[in-house]
Amino acid sequence: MRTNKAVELMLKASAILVVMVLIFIFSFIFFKSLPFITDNQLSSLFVDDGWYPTTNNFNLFPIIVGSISIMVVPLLLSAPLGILLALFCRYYAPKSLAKVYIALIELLSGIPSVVYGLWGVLVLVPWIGQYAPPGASLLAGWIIIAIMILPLMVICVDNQLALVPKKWLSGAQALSITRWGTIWKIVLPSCISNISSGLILQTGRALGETMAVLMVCGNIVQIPTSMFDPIRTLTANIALEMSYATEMHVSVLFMSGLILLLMTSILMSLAYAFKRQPVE
Amino acid sequence: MHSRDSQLNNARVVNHTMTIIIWSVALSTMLLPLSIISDVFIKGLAHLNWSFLTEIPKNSGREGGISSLFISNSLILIVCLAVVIPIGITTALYLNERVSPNDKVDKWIQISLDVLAGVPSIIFGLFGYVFFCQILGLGFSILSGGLSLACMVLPLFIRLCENNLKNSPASYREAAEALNISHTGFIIKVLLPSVAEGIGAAVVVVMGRALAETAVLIFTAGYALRYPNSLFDSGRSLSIHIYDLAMNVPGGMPAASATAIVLFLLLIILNALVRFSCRRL
Amino acid sequence: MDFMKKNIKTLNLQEKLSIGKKAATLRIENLSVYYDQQLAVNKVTLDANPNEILALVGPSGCGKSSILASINRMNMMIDDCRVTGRILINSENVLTDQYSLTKLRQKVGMVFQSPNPFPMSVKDNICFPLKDHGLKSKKDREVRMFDVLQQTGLWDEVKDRLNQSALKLSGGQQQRLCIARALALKPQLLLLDEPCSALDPKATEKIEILLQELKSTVTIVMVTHNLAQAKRIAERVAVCWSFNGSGRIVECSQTDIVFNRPASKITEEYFSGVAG
Repeated sequence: MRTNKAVELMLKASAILVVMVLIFIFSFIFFKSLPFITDNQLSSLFVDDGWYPTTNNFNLFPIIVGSISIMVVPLLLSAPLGILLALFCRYYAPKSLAKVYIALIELLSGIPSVVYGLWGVLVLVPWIGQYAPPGASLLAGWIIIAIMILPLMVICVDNQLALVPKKWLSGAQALSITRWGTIWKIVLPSCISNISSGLILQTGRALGETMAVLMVCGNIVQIPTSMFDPIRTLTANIALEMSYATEMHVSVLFMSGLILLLMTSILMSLAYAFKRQPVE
Repeated sequence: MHSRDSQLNNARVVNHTMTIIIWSVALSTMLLPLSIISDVFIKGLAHLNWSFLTEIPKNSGREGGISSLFISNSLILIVCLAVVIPIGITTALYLNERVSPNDKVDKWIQISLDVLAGVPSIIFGLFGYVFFCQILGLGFSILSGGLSLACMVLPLFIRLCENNLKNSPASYREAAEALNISHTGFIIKVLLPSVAEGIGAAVVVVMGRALAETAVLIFTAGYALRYPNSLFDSGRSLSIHIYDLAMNVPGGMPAASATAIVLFLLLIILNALVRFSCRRL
Repeated sequence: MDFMKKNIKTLNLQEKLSIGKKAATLRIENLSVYYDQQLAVNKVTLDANPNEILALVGPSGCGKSSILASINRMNMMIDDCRVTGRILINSENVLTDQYSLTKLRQKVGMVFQSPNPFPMSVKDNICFPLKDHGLKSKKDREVRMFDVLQQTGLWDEVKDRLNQSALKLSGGQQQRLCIARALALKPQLLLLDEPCSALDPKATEKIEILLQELKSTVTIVMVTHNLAQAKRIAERVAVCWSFNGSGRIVECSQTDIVFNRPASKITEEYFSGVAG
């Protein structure tokens, strides 16, 4: 085709703009956290006497622990469930039911986290509070996050199952291998690494989730000793303190943003490492 | 013979067990999200009536309605889409139509998109608060909120558009190549019209995502409940209204639930729009 | 001054999209096509002359389509594709970079296996490429559209729905529209890659009649799977065969000679269904 230099250039320029935005956001967050890095030892994030940012005590450790703990258990809860539900849609449910089911899942995946949070405040927290006050706790966070990421996981597994070659399934059917046998020996082995990759990416969602966690976890800075303890996560911390932070406090909040970015990047590279080219 | 038979039987037993497990898990798991929806509906329906949609919030939102928030939220969406649609489509076109495929720039764009898509939304809020509100001096405003939101949804929109462009029939390109149509003419007259519905669906998906987002907007769009006078005015989104009523306003729960119902219904409409346009493809 | 410039431009344009140029002679010499390192077409030599239809026949994978796609350099769209040898159109080698692609693609029209009209109205399918090539006057474009629709026998069928989407036409009509679209640029050589394989017998017949009529204005090279079709409409037939994955022409001569007194054993076996 006859190419037009000006148009090509315009397309390229907008693509570069997108990269610039990313670089800009990252470097911005980095430079904003520089004052903290240069004025304080990074180790102060772990050894200070607690999190009292107004008096320059910046022990982020309990908050980091909070973020990690809020992510691990929901993953363990929803990953197997997500796989089972996706298998149900593709291999067990009658076509019409599967259609409705997937539509429902897609709908659920679009529900704003603030609505899940609202339900947490409305129903879940008071319910847990009956047994183990105050109710706003790690457990409440686990339940909400698990429910939130479940639809995302189902969709992601379902997308991978869709890529399994049909001829393998008809081959197994011709040999009258049981349905579960086909799934266990043929379907899952062929796509398990891509499924894991997707599941890890969704875990990143749990780590980055702000609103629901902010609303149901109690936001007390402490290392939890039981699942009924309230906790605070990095995301909730930023949301809670950004509005009144000044000077070094702002810088340490950007620092916590940087840590959050680092953690998501680790998850993302893990996901990349698991990714395989789908078989033809 | 005997051992082979029992093995076969084993496989059948496992198969039946798994069938039962999967069916019961699938049916029971859905009860929880459905009960979430119904809980919110039960709480909010009593508060929901026509005047809730047409009046402005009173008494911090406990009474009155949410009409001004519709305006604020729509303006935030418009600002967001006005930035995202042109940049998103041109970037997707670049990725799909590049002349030299092994360009290093490409690789960087692909990585950037993946990374951007995985950045937690609160980071965009943090960035938007300091950059748009403070450094650019836009303050808590619809403009700051819309722009921050645009940064967040841009990668998603680019990916969706790129997938659509990839699925555009190769035969159109062949024909254009054989007729030696100009590249620009091909893009404007053939390629984009052929994927218009898919791009429309992508816009709606992005609208849904933007409508559902809260964390980005808390520190960028602000909390004002009145009708906004301009894009430089602060304006509260529906999602922030839910958050604020549930957490900061004692007795705000019924109004929060009613707002959640409205937001939920809006999202269902968007979802239906996507399904509708996808079916027509 | 301005007026002069404009005049020169129009002249160029008329030369570019000129009416009534004679059909081209095509000569392919020692053409080889490689995909990556794999030799797909091995040193093929062929000619096609004005006023005739040359049919390329042979089993699938024998390189017929690769030969065809080399003529208007469509192969260039594929990465790792390398073409050597010479292709002369009116004694000019078109495989050199000096030969402009615009000129080549205008001189050589191409029609594909399955009809691929653009997703726009019937009228725009013909007018948009003309406009894109610089035919500025709306009237000229419409006259040209009328001409080619007449020529392809579509006018009576579509004159009432020129503004409807071309995708609503039947398969046969779509394919004739594609031929019309190619003819609108006034090519001297028309390449057809199994143009009837996606059509029913009735639509196929219409296209065959059309091609018979067209051969007086444009040289036609067509690839076909359908031996009966080659026999019906081609003046000359070239038989292509794959040797260890690389295509060669085993023989090329008058249709009745190839079918009745083939020079090569392979041709004989292929036609009788023993091989291929």
